[in-house]
Amino acid sequence: MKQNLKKINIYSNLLNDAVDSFEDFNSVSNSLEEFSSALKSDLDVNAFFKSKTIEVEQKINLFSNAVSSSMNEILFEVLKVVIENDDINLISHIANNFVLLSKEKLNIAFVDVTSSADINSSHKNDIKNSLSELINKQIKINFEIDSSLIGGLKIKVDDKLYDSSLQTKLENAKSKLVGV
Amino acid sequence: MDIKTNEIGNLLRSQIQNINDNVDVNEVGEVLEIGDGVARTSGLGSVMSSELVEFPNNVFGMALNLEEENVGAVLFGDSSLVKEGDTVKRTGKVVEVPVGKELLGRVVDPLGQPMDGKGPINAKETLPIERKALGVMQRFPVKEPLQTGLKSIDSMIPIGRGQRELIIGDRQTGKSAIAIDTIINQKSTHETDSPVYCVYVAVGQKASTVAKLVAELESNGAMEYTTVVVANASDPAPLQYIAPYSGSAMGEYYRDNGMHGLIVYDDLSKQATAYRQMSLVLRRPPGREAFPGDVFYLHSRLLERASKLSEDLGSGSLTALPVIETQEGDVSAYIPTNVISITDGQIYLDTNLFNGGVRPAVDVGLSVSRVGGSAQIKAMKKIAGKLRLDLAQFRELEAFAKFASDLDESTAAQITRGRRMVEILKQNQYVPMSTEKQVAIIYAASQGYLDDVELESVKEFEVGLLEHFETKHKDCLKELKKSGDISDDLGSKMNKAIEEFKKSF
Repeated sequence: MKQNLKKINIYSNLLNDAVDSFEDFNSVSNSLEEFSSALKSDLDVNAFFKSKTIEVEQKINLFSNAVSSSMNEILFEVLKVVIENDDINLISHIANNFVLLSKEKLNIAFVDVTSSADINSSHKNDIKNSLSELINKQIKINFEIDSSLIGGLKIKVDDKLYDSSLQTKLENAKSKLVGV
Repeated sequence: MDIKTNEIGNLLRSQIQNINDNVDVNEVGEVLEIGDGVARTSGLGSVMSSELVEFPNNVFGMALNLEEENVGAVLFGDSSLVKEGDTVKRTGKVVEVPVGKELLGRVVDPLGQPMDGKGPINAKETLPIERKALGVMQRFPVKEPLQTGLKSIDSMIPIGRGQRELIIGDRQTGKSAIAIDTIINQKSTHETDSPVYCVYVAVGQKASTVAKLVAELESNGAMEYTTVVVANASDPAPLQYIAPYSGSAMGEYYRDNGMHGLIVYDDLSKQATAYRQMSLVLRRPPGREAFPGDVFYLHSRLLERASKLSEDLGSGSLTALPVIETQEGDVSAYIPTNVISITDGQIYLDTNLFNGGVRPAVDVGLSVSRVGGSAQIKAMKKIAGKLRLDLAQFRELEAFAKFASDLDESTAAQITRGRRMVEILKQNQYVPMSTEKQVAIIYAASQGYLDDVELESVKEFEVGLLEHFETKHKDCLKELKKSGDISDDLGSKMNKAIEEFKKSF
């Protein structure tokens, strides 16, 4: 376990050192996530990379052919080493650790915005810009729709949840009035 | 009732206006996994240990394991209402319960929520359930008696206010009965200037048993000064684990405000079992009997909170009566030895005595009170010494009596005296006896007035004698109550009264 933690730290630190901009971070983290979810969802791919009988060269060849054009160069090289060392089962941990490190380094916040109905793109942009200004960070934003909110917004910035939804306000009012 | 519609309208309007319309800001995390009443959550970076956290569907939990990457929280509600990926909110406060006299007469759960359908509890104060016990300088030696109303206990194993006295015994030996009788007996203190308020904590018991108990307390008028904290057998283990701490916080309110409190933990073995379950699910390493390493601290920090306060702090007290159930009389098991070593004595209940009709089945040889003696009234102290001696001699000789048919005169006399002593110490449930009456009957027995009374008639003699005192010599009882001592003068008066009754018996 300790050995694995060390390896995760080495891989993620390397990636973190190589990433200098928000764009780089976005492309690396997205690709890592895609690769990790592909491994999780496709059992054949998973079995192929974890197999002890298939040669490492064969694995790397297939990997190179499949992703080389679309993937960030540094990540591509790092993943090749990961495959070489048979550490493919650490991918999701590496991804998590990398995000944690780079978030700190590049001053990035992860924001989830939940609304009761679809928001048009100009509003989305407004929300993104004003939030970014407000918290003084670059933000990676994700919009979701949940009709049970009735109205208002729920904005989650990293670990903080700002809830101005009508649903929560009604629930608060109910608990105050009923005394439950 | 006359309902005025405008008033209701205005009231509602003002209440709605008062509702805070601001944006709700919370620190949140995400449920990573859930099972066996424990949730592992990510996020919640700055959560405190024992902080209350809120899950969806009004389920609350307590953050216990603060690890590097995740937080282990135990759930106080139905874990099937929480699923992976749910949001969990910090509340910013450690688990607290309402305290105060508003809780008297109420049945509440370990979070202080009412369970008796008598409406909300409008307590003005709350206290955290986990509080540090008081230090040495804040305490005072135990000096006032806490009467249980049971002859065998008040005479030989006296309990003082602020003491921790363990009630230990196998199943079905009358452990809870002693605790309940003690609570019922506190009714008499409410006619004095130092009333005792009671808290009964039921842990891991059947709901039907608790319902019966509450009904019994109610019918005896004891609920008026009692709060019952319930974590039933069907409740999640974390609730059973915190119930004694919640009860203790409620009891400490009386202590800290210069009043007297009595708390019964019924029982701590079930709390330890619940804690073991919780710890194993939280993956804490198991130790002896699979209990976690800190199971001693679990009970020691709880029982240390019972104390007698110094005069500077108002002289309040909190007396604790923890209950422990043994298996086949094994007091050397892990939890019993732990609790025995923490408390200031124990009342040991024996199955054989119980089955032999000696109820309460107190084994006087194994029971002890380490500090209560100094709180005993003088009159009781005087007669209890003799009673203890008589019973000890009787126990030694009892074995011989079974084999030898012709015993020498003094041995036979000791056996006769012992048998009568045992007989007068028997007492029915829910009929606690006032101290002066206890003194009167034990005095009569220790002076040898019962030696020539048939064993079968001892009970009848006792009832008659007390009635005789009550009707014809009330002054004796009054003087006993007032002075708390048997002076020579009072002694001779009592002798006379007993002789007078014996003639008519």
